[in-house]
Amino acid sequence: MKKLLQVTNIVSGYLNRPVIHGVSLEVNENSSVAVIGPNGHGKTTLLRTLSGFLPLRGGSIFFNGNDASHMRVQKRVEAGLVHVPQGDQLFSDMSVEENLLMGAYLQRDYSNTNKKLENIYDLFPKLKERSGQVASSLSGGERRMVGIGRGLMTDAKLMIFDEPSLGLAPLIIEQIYEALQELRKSGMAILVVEENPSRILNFADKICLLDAGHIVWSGTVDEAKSSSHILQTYLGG
Amino acid sequence: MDVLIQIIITGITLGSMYALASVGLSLIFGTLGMFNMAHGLFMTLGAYAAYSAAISLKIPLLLGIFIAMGAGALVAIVTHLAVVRFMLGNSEFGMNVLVATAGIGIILEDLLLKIYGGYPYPQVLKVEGLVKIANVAITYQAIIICLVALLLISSIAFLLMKTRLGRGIRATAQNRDAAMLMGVKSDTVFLQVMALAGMLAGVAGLMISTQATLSPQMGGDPLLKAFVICVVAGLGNVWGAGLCAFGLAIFEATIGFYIGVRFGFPAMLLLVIAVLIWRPQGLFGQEKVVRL
Repeated sequence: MKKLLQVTNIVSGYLNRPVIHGVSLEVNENSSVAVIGPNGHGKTTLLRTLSGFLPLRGGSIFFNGNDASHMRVQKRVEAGLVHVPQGDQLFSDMSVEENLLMGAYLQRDYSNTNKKLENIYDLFPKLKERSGQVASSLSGGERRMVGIGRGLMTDAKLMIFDEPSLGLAPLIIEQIYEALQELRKSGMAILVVEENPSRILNFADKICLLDAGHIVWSGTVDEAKSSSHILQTYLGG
Repeated sequence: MDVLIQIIITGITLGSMYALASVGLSLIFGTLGMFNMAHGLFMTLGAYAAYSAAISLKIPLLLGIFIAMGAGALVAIVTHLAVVRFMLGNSEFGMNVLVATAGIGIILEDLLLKIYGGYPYPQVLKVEGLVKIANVAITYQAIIICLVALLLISSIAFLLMKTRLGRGIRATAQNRDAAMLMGVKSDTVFLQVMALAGMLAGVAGLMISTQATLSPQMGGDPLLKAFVICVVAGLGNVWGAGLCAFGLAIFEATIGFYIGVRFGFPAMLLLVIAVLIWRPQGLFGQEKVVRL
């Protein structure tokens, strides 16, 4: 299987304080990888480094065969590396539909846009009802759906999700993960970060544990389940 | 009745000039999050550029407007490329850029003083004459000012709401990181915003100079008023800035007529203070809601 994202030994952080100390991971085409770990151990920092907001201080990032280590944020988006950030980061004065259409900002050819929009409305029927409503008036779950939907409007090859379950009620988390499952079935490569691993176990092909800026363990879901040490430390079993 | 019409016309003419000045200022604040203290000098330079072109080349007013726009845009672009862009992303950006743009303003003002001297010139690019409707006299220049402002501000509105460029600007203003994640080039957006605001400022300067005189300090007063308008409207709210420009100008004109011109601006400031005590976020500003 083709390697889509190859991260080798990267170091990154804020100012002179590294948060990520030599992390390596890979995401293949048509696969899903989950990074789990406690809060404050660098999960969001890792993702912000992958999408180019934080400069790389060591190691390399290859995306789709190209060196993306020092690529600018929008170049990575153009290449198909799309990051759905934590806390949704919607355009608060725009309507739901305008937010979604911003995802298609880089596409000069609009012939596909309506079809994509319909797909997202199929995935999240709630958003169709709310399409004209301004984003700042949405509930937490609806905001998450817009954030994910906006990411899906891009021409993504790899979608990165930063804690898609954060701050949502269990029922809504269920809906969000059903949508991500749909997305996975369609063949999209996915990298997802979560603090709570319970959602990940029937979703990811591979799990990496991030602790204090290091990947301390990685393996398949079955391996994680059979390793009592891993379960006890991180999966709450 | 005539008095009322006269006041409204004076107010709208003033408001047109204020709107040209404050819409650009608000656009810059909304997108880059900076107080552009050099905005007054963008206006002054627009006025002087048109004046110089008119003196040496005998151009008509219409061409002068384009020259003022070009001069304003040029100095705004240079300000961005030479100074502002190096400060972006710094945690002290807001304060640093305030000081830096104030410095740029002072340097440019001194430069103008050196080249043209401190003597105020009358603006030669000006249409003379007036038309009388009923008992109210309206100068042709006032009509031109209103038309130019209407045309330019509606063009900006169209650009912001209906074009891809505008979508990029609005997205960047509302959430810079998210806009970048959609593939918007924020550096380019900042440059575009500076150029647009500079264009509006240049024209504002030219229009203001037709109503008063050209002097290196001429931008100071409109800059102050534009700031006040932006704050009352709610910082970064471009539509609000446009509306408040007209509202406050009509208020200023009313006070100016009934109590005396010199009381117009102080009265406007008193009104502004009252508004800000009542609505600290500005008339059209939203209260900041922090949510995860």
